[in-house]
Amino acid sequence: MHDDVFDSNAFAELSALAGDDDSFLPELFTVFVQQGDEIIGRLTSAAQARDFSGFARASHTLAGSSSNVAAMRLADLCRAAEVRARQSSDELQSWRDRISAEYIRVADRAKKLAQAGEPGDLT
Amino acid sequence: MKVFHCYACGQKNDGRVVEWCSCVTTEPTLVCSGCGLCFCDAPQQYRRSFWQTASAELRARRREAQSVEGREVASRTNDPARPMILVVDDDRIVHFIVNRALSSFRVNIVHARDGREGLEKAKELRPDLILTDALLPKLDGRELCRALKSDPATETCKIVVMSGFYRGLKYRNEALQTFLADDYLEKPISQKNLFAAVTRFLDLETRLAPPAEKEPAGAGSLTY
Repeated sequence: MHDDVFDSNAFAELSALAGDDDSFLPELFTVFVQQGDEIIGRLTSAAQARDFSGFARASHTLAGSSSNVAAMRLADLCRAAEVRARQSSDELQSWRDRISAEYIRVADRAKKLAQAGEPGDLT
Repeated sequence: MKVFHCYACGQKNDGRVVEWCSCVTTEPTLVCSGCGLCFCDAPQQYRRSFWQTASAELRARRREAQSVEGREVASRTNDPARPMILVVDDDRIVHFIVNRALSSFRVNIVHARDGREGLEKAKELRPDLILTDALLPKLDGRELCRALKSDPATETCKIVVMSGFYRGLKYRNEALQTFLADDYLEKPISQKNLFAAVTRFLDLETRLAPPAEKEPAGAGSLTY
């Protein structure tokens, strides 16, 4: 099953890691949203301060955590933003807005997945 | 006194609170007075219910435990029979996944959130295996690897560098040859790659439990 937020193949890998642990995915997505909200805040601050290094680091962390929860579209967006930030591209606010918009979509789904009884939506 | 049904042995008792359980959870936890098993591996709803109804004193102890640096390390180093894995990453998701995915292995898992903290813990604890991100705050994960491999005290630590940014053969070879890593994994972490790294570098036959002896996991209470 294809999903516009989560990559189905990556989600299958995630489910394999979870094994028979029913609380794995709900707790994982809870951690993801907690950390993601913090990172969006860091991206916002870095964009406002034109802090390229800070923006790249925050993008890098969100790219990693997104890919680890199968949110590949968000991960790709963050990687592209990280590269641009390392090149000192003067587009940080634009990248921050694009990442934030996609993150809101992922976080919305993640919160639903974090609620008991819904982890199997994609499998 | 609140009475619990132990999820493991079924006995009804009031439990007892211990600072650290056998799962080396990072907070005071409840263990069954009957069988002695902690409730770390109990269903999430059970644990949530426990903390919702816990006394103010116990909640205060939990907050204190979560705020004190170093306790986690101390708790995870008192069973020398278990191999130790140090996870160095600034992404909490990675710590969560490694902790939970390896819950059936009898290993101690220690966490560091930047390269400098990873270096300090590696020198102090000399873990059997280090899983480190390549790009880390304060000290690059690959430089961390090279520093540990250049130190006679830590050169025998097996080190796996992980990256979702530096992908491909070029970076793999660089990690292995220039930074002296023992292996290189691309993120996202897969079960196959994680288990392969653990089984490759740790002495499974003598140090890891067979699947039938699966132990409760403490990862449900992983805190930062």
